[in-house]
Amino acid sequence: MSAYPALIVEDDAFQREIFVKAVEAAGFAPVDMAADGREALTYLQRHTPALVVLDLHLPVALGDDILAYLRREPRFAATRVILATGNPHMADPLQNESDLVLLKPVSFTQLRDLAMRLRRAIATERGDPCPE
Amino acid sequence: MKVPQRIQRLGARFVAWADAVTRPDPQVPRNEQQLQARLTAASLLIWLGAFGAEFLWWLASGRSFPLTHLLYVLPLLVGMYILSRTRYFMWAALSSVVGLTVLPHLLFYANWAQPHTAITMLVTPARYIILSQLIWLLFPLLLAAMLLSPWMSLVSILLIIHSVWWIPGVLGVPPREVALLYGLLWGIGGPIWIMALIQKRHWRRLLNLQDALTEQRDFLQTVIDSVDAPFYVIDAQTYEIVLANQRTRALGPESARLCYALTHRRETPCDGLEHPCPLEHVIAQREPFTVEHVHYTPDGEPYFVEVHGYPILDEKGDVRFMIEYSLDITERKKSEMELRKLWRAIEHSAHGIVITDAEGVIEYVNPAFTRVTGYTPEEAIGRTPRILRSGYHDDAFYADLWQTIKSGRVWHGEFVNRRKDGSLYYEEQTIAPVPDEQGRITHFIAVKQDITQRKHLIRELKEAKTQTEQALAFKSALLATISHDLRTPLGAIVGYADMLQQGVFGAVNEEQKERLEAILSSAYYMRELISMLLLHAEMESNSLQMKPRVVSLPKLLATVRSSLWVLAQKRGLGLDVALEPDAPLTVYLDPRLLRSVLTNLVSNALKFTKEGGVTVRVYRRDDEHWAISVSDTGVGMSAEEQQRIFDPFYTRSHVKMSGAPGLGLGLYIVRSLVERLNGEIEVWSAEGQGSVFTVVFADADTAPPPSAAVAQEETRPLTEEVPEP
Repeated sequence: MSAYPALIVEDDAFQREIFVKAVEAAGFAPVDMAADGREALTYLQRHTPALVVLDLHLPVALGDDILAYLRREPRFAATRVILATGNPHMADPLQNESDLVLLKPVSFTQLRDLAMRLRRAIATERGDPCPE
Repeated sequence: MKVPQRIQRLGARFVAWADAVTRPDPQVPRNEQQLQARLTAASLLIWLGAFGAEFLWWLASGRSFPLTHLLYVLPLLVGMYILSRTRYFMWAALSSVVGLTVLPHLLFYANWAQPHTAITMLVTPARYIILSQLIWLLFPLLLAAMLLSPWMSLVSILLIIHSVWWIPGVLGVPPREVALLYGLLWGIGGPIWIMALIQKRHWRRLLNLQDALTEQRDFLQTVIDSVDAPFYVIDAQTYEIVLANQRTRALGPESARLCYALTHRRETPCDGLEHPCPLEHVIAQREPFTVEHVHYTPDGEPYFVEVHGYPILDEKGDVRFMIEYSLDITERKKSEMELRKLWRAIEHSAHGIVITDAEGVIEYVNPAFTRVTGYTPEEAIGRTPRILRSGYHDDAFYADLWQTIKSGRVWHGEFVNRRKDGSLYYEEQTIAPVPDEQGRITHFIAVKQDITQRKHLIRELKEAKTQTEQALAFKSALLATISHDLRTPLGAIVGYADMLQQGVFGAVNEEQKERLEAILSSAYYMRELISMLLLHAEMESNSLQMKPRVVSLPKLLATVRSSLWVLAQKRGLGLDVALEPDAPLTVYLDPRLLRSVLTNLVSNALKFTKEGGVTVRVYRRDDEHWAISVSDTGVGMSAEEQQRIFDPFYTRSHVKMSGAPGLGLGLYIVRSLVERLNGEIEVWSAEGQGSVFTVVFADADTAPPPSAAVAQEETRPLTEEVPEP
């Protein structure tokens, strides 16, 4: 069984922990986290995660920049992106840029279930046996 | 010698009669010919008289008059008389000359040949014949002379001579007597011929004079006709127009011969102060007079004229005629009126107006100038606008101003000037040069406006604008804060409560689970409140912006379902979404508003449903409409409740029962949003049977513009990829 690395980019520590737990519960591993844009970019330069959960309101580098970076690099073609935002104005324009846009607050169960669906989809794509 | 009045009267009557019976045809043009025609007619009348006398004498002498004679002579003479009164009078004259010359005996011979005439006592019958012939021959000769043609006289003489050549032979008279006849003929005919020549010359001179007069008159007429204004001469006694030029004749009908009838359409002469009659004034004063009148065009349109009258005096010094001409001054009147209007505008203008000469010396200031600057016209005129200088502008400023206006351009700008009392004021000024016809600048006109108050207002407005901008920026920041900063802590509450409940941090008992559920539902409610308050605030402040884009309905349904599925599950309810095969896959709408509508309707439905579930269905309504319906198996509503359901702050009676608190804004906002999206919302409900909310959109309102078509492409459609949980 191949690895399902994931990256959580979220500046709020509580939220970050919830997201990490939810994604882990969905079967992604290893799950790394970044508290700001720079950390996220540093990680992305070295890794190619299967899933990125991205908060759009980030210090240092904005979520938009990271999203643009992910979309630009062919390396991330298979990377699924879940966007989390507190601003409903931002949610819709990005609908087509990502796999899911979640309006905060995002519950543990919600993210876990959605992430699980994405992981199954990835597994189907890769031809892995069903993880469950 | 005094002629008795009776004779005078008789004479006058005879002249009138003679004039009437010899009056030539009006078509006979020249005076000379008219005279000839009159003479011919008169001669023929005389011969008619002679013939009549002969006829009467014949009857008196008791003899029968030869009828044949009467039958051809009378019609001949009458016919020729009639001919002489026509334009062919010359034929009558010629026929008379020729007829009398060649055939006198047919007319009169028989009568005059009677032996008891005076002549027969003096001469032998043969001689008498010749003599009578001669006497009668003289008639045509006289006629020819009277016709004033020497040539015709000569022809007559020759004809007569010709006739006497054969008479002696026929009658057997000795040639000696014929020679006598010759002598007689030449003796009488010659002087007549010479007289005719002299008379002809005399008449020619008269006629030349008349021609000259006519020419003179025509010349005068041409001259006055060339005057491009009504020009006419009025008889001072009768008001009759005795001479008029073309422009005058064009003023009215031919019949309008009186001056007031022609130009004023009046029955009586002009009077009063409004229309003083120039003629009366000229008659009284015997000097030229000018007055302004209103005249009328042939169409009856009034127009302003300046009437000039000049007297023509007779030998006694009285006014006999008046020359009058009228100038159309309508344009002048109009421009005078315009000038008066402009002048009033300048005088009453709220802006100060200054007129200076080319050197800048003030010639005129209007009252507003005095109001603004404090300088009266007396104080300002003769000085230059330097009196207003405040010292706030350098020499370069004034140099630029002068260069601009001296080169013929308009200068526009602002000044800080000083009033007479020393106070400063702001002034906006436009200075325009006034060139003459050669393009030389003769004056400058400056229009000044005191803008001190405006300056203050602008400053205040600027300050107010800055404040408003700050307030707006603050409001945007506040909205962003509410959006982000309120949601983030809510994220921790929801997340951790959910995790605890899910047993991520260890087992929780049922009682704890229930409390965690309470935390969760309160937190979700809070999230809903934040969303609704934001939307409400945006709508109230009109800052809700429509950002339509291509929306994938399958994706939208999936998003709505995934965000509310947890809630539904918690309440043990089903949440189904269905996209009917005939429903559109993509629509062009503001996705945020559409999702708010759906989320609100679904969460509302979940709130009022205890068992069963909620179904969201997208389907085609008819050929032109598609719809989204949200139906539940909940408590339903009474008809009365359905009426009020969309009112703001209305909370349903079942709220308490369902345990879900409500702000009463949800459906109100939903309806407002649907209206914004050009859709319509309908509700069907029955108590205990659930409710169906249907939002209907017209295809035409949700069709994407051509430019948006590209954005329809979707790389990874979520619904197909992610299997149902």
